[in-house]
Amino acid sequence: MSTYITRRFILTVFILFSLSIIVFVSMHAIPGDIVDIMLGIEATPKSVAALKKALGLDRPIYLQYLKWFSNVLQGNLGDSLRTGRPVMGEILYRLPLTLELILYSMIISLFIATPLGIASAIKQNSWFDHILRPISIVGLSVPSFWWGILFIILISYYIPSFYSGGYVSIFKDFWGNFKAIFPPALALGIAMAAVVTRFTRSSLIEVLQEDYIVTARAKGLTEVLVVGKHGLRNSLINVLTIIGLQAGYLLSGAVLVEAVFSLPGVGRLALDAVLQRDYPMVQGSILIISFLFVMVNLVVDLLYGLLDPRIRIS
Amino acid sequence: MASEGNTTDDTRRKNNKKILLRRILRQKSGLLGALLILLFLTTAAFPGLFSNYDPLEMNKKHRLEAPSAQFWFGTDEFGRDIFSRVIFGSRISLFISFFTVVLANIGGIIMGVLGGYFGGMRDNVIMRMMDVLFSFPFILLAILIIAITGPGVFNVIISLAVAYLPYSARIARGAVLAVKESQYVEAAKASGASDLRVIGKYIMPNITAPIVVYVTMSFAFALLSEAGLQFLGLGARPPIPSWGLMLNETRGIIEFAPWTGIFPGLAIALAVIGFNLFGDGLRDLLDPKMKQ
Repeated sequence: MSTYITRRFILTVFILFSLSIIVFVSMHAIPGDIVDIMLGIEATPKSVAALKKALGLDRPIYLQYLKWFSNVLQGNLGDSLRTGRPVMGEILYRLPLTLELILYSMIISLFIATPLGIASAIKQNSWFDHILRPISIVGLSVPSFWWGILFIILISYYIPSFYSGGYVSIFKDFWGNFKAIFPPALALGIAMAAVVTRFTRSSLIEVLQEDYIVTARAKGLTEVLVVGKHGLRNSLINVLTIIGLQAGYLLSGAVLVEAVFSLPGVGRLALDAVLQRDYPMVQGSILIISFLFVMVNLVVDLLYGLLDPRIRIS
Repeated sequence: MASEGNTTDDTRRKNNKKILLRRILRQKSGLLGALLILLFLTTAAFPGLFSNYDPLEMNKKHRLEAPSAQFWFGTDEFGRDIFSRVIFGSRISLFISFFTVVLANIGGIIMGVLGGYFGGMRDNVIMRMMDVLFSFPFILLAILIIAITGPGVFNVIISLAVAYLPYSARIARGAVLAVKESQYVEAAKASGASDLRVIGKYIMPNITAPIVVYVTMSFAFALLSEAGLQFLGLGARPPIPSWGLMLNETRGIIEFAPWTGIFPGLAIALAVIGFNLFGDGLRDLLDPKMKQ
C-alpha cells in the first residue's frame, strides 16, 4: 500500500510541475508582447523597456519561471490586466459557485443513475433494460449547453415562478440559490447520469456472475442481501473511478453551462479572460481548475486503492 | 484437389458473408446511426439541394418569425432562414470533427503503438506526457491553446486534436499490450522480422477492431466539443452558419423566440446520436465479447 501511495504522489507532483510549466510557457507563446497589450497605444520604446524591467521580463525565461512559480506557491498569481486586482482573489471569489454547481450535478446524476443502473442490471434483457439503452445514448449525446437552453425556454414559458434573477449564495437565500443552481446542475448532470447508469449496470452484471455471489445465493441469502451487500459494494468500487474521470468532464462542462445561465463562476472567468486577452487571469484560472482536477483524481485513486486490495499489490 | 479446395473455400466465404450480412442487419440501432450519419454527410456535401434560402441572406421584413410553411424552422434576428442555416451548418461541424478525429488519432495511435510495443523508457516518457495532457479538463486545454492561437476554425481543430490525443494513445497502447505477448508476435520476432514489420503485419491488423470502434465514437466527442467551443464563441466568426455559434447568438432572445435555440441544438444532438449508435453497433459487430 505504501509503495502505491508513494508512486501515486510522485506522479502527482510530476504532473503538477509539468502543468505549471505548460501554463507558464503557453502564456509566453502568445502572439504580440504582453507589455504592448498592457500599455496599449501609449507604448513608446522607453516605456516598454521600463515596464519589461519592472515585470522582470528582461531576464532569462527560466528565472522568470522560478520567480513566477515561487509566487504561485505563495498564492500570488499576479494581477488582472483588466481590473488590476489580484488574480487569486478573483478566482477564490468565483470558485464556490463552480464547486457548488459541480457538487449539485454529481448528486443529481448519482440520484438518477444508481437506481436505473441497478434495476437494469438485475432485470437484464427485460423491456426496461432494453428501453434504457437508447435513452442513455440520447443522454450521452445531447450537449449540456443545449439542455440548458431548453430549460431556460421551459422555465420562461411554463414555470415562470422558477425564473432566477441571478446567483445568490446558499447562506443568504436557500430557495433563490436553488432556483439559480438546479437547472444548470441538471443540464450538466444528465450526461454524467447516462455514463454512470451504463457503468453501474455493466459493473453490477459482471460482479453478479462472480463465485462469491453464487455462494451467497446458495447459502440461502435473500436477493436483496445478495445484490445489496455483496453485489453493490463490489461494483461501486468500479463506479468510483468513473466519477473521478467525470470530474474533468464536469469542470469542462461548467464553462459551457455557466455561459448559458450567465453564472459568474470560475469557468466563466476563464472564458471571459480568453476573450478579453487578460493573460494572467487565463493562466491563473486554468492552473487552479486543472490543479483541482488533478487533486480529485489523486483522491479517487487513493480511495480506490484503499477499497480494492488487488490494486495495492499490483 | 486444388479446385475442390477452392470451391469449399468459396462456399465458406459465401456463408461467412451471409452470416456477416445477417449480423449487420440485426443491428437495428447501428443501422439507424448509419442512416443519421449518411443524412448529415449528404446535407454537408449538397446543402443547396435541401435549403430553399441563402443561409447568409438577411431579410428585414422577416425578423424572428416563428416556424411556418415559408420558413420551416423560423427566422433569426437578422431575418435569416434557420432551416437553411442548420443545413449549411452541418458542413463546418463535420469538417472540424473529421480533421480533429484524423489528427488526434494519427498522433495518438502512433504514440500508443510505439509506447505499447517498445515498452520501457520510451513507453514511460510517452505515457507520462499523456498523463500531463490528461490532467487538463479537455475544454480548458482547448481554451488554453485558443488563448495562444486566437479563435478560428483551424485553431479549434488543433486544440481539440491535442486535447484528444491522450485518449486515443491510451486506447491504442492498451490494444497493443493485449496482442503483444501472443504467440504469432513471438514467432514473427523469433524468425527475425524487423520491428517495423512486426508492427505493420502482425500488430496493426489485430488491433484494428477496437481502434475502428474508438475512432467512430470519437466523432461523437469531437462533434460535441466542437459545438461547445463554437457556442463559447471561440470558433467560426459570424455570419458563418455553425450550430454552436447559432446557439450562442440566441442569448437574450430565446425567451421570446425559442425556435432559434431549438433547431440548431437538435441538429447537434442528432448528429452525435448517429455516431454513438453507429459506434455502439460496430462494437457489437466487431467485438461480441464487449456486448455486455
